[in-house]
Amino acid sequence: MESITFALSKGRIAEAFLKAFDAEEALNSRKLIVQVGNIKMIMVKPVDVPTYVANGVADIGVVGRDVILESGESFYELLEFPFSKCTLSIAGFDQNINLEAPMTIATKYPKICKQYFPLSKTIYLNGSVELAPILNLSDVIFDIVETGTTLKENGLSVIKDVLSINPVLIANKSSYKFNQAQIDAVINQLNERGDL
Amino acid sequence: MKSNLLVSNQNKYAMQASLMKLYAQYGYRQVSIPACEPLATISELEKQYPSRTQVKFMDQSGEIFYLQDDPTVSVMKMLRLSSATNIEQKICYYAPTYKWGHRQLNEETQIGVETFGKDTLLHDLEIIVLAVKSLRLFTDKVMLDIGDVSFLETLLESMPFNSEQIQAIVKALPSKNMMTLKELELFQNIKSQDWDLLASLFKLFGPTEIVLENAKQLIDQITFKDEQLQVKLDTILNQIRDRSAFLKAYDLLEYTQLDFTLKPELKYYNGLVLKGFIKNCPSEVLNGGRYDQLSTEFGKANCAAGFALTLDLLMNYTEVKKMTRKNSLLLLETELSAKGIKYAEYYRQKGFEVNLRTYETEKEAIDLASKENFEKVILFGERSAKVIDIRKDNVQKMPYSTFDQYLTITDANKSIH
Repeated sequence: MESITFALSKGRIAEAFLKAFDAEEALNSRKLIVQVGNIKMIMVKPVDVPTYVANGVADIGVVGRDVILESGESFYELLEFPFSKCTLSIAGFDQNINLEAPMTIATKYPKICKQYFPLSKTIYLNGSVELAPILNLSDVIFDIVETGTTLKENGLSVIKDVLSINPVLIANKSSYKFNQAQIDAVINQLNERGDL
Repeated sequence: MKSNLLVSNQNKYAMQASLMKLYAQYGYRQVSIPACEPLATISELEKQYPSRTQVKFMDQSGEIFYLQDDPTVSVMKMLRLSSATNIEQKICYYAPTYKWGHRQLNEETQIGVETFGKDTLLHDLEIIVLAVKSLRLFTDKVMLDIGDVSFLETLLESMPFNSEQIQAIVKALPSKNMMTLKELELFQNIKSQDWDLLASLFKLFGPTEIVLENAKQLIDQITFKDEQLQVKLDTILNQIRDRSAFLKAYDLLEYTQLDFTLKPELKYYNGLVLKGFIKNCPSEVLNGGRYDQLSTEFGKANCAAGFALTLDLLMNYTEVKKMTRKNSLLLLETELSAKGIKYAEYYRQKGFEVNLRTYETEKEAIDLASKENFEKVILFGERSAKVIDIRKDNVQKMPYSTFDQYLTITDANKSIH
């Protein structure tokens, strides 16, 4: 069977999948490419997974839905995983703010933000987005919320949950047409694990 | 990906020539596509289908033009100028196209065919056959996804979902992932049997016979409020079944699969939808379908179907086969002479492509001819000519009296325009 290339987001997702494929020893090395049977796994930055898959360098990849949506690329989404579930939410100081009206939103996800809040002005920030409303850069933020601890510690709270985020197995559409048997075999193997 | 390398351009020309030859065999006539046109000529279309990627510029008089981005529209405009209605026409073209993408101007060469006429089954079949054959000229690893917008829209209309839900379903279909809908407020109160219908819809892609069977089963599960919708769906399925039988007769069915979840980016498609893929190329190289409504936008109703393929992608992901230049002669002398010039002019008048050169060794001559894909090499000696057929690896030496009548043209050299 021909080999396929699987792009994994470095961090929790790579850990989970390397364990699932009994390749845990790779976790302790700095290797960026790990061969497991006929699957070549490449460890990449989460934001780069869509790029590798969209360009066909990786046939499949696993990354959070937030990254997929923000990339703007189109893939087949073959499997969703329940772990690392979180939400993209609007958060701020004022629980009564009118979300339908134009406002200024600070976010790491300007594309997704524009889709849900087309009338609002979006300010892109690369990190520590919670600072923006504190320093009056924005009215609210649009960001990932897991436990809500960071928000709470900065005096902010969730105003509205907008989108649920979890890891998704994506496939390059063209790759899927010519490597369907191999890709389906990976999906079956993951489904059989049951712990992902 | 534009290349200025001579070799790349020669390869591109070779691919282009192969494709044009294929379309000519099916009766398609080549037309020229303008590089730019006044925006005013497509103002109504622009309002309906505004483009974010179109490259526009202003001339000195203040008139706005756009660089060619969709040759199909230019072809439609050409037909509008014709006084005939219900035109039967088969047209092919190649054209550089321009779009804004990723903060830069992208130029790509598109090659396409358009067919106009009433017999939609025949034309749809021919378009599919040509789409597959176009890609198979360069590689065997080909897959053509075939959808039907009319079938999808009628199916959605028959299902128990409101227009907002249908919009969300259509948005999710390209990813083949129904799970995204479960997160939406719109779908919180959906009955489980309706989720089953959606699950079946999202799986309507794959080998033709299996998808046709699954589509039939899905139709049987729906409770129709309007019988006419069921009749329409059954009719479309039967047409697709018939067409697939003909595709099998062409031995091309294995290179196609049905995908009823396909929704084209351009809204003017109203029936057949095509997306062509080749192995190792990360995106589709071919797009097409049926767009009867588009000609209506130009004020003349006409059944129309076609496709365009991106030659640059095809070139980057396939190997270009070496093309012998038919009826091409390399005439070689040790020193330029009146005799060489006379023979060169004589064979050019007969319709051959002739290159007259001097040479030092026979090996050098044959190497040059092979590299440049000449059909034959002729070495002029004092009393005889040596004719070397590169393709057949055949050498003949003959006196000039015999040589004068030896070469005949096999077909006329055709113009590339």
